[in-house]
Amino acid sequence: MSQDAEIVETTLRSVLTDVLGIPPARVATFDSLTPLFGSLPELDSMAVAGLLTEIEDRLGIVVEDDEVDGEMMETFGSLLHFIRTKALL
Amino acid sequence: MTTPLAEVARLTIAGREEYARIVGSGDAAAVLLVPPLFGEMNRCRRLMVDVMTELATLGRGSALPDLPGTGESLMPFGAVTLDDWRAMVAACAALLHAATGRTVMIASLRGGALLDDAPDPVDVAGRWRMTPVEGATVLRELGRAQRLAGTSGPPLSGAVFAGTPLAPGLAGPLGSARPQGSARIVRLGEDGKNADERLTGSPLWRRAEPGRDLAMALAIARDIDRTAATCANS
Repeated sequence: MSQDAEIVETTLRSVLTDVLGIPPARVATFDSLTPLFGSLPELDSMAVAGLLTEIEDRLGIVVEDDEVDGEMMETFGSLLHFIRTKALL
Repeated sequence: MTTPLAEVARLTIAGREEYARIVGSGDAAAVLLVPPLFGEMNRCRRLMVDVMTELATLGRGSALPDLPGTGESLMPFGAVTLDDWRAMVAACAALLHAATGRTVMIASLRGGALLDDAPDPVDVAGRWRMTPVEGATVLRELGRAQRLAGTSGPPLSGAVFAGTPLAPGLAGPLGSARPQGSARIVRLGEDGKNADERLTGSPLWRRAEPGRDLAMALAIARDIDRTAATCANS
């Protein structure tokens, strides 16, 4: 994994902790198949808005609303893949 | 404050009575806290009150206004303009200046930085800002939350907060509002943007549920206290 790809993953994990209040130890156990949207009670639509805005802020990217759907938020892996595509152009 | 103020200060803004919470007294210059805007204000209420308690321990009184249309204010939110919020912040600074005889340290969080230049400069000792944001960013996030919520019923046009459309006099000027003038800028450690100081803590303004971070509240209070002391000596 490149250093940049690693930074994106670290950032995503810390944003999940900071925005959703999930303990870092639990976020550290998330792997690519860990379900997110629909499975984490903390992750409602307001939280999704906060999560995306914080990710944009920290990585200097812009996420358009029409790119946000259930599939992209389905698992830790799918969200990480989406953000990496945006951040590592 | 040599003359302790009541716990709740009453001010008249646009012909209505509005309120500010007052904590502590003391001989040092007082601090006027300017809250973040919209949902972030609610998520940070606990943090701001914890900061006020810590400031009181350090011998510094502080005030936290309920911006018109929020908290205890009786003004309908849908009628609030940006000028109402700015007038409230200016009136609080004038009140603290008159009550203490000292110019006021203004400490704003997030979108509060869009209001902290409203007071008359004669009332102000200095400004302190934590992770200030531009008005356009604030509006963008409101719009995103509204669209993602996908609520039933007729679609509301323009910026909406908690189901209530923002008045044109709020949404319009907010869209082009940016923090003005010089200030000490404080950010959290993970935040890559330029800062005069970095503190350890969590961005409670983003939390899905209101949270508490006493260590961060103490660090914030200490940094505001040091900054206020520097401004008083300069």
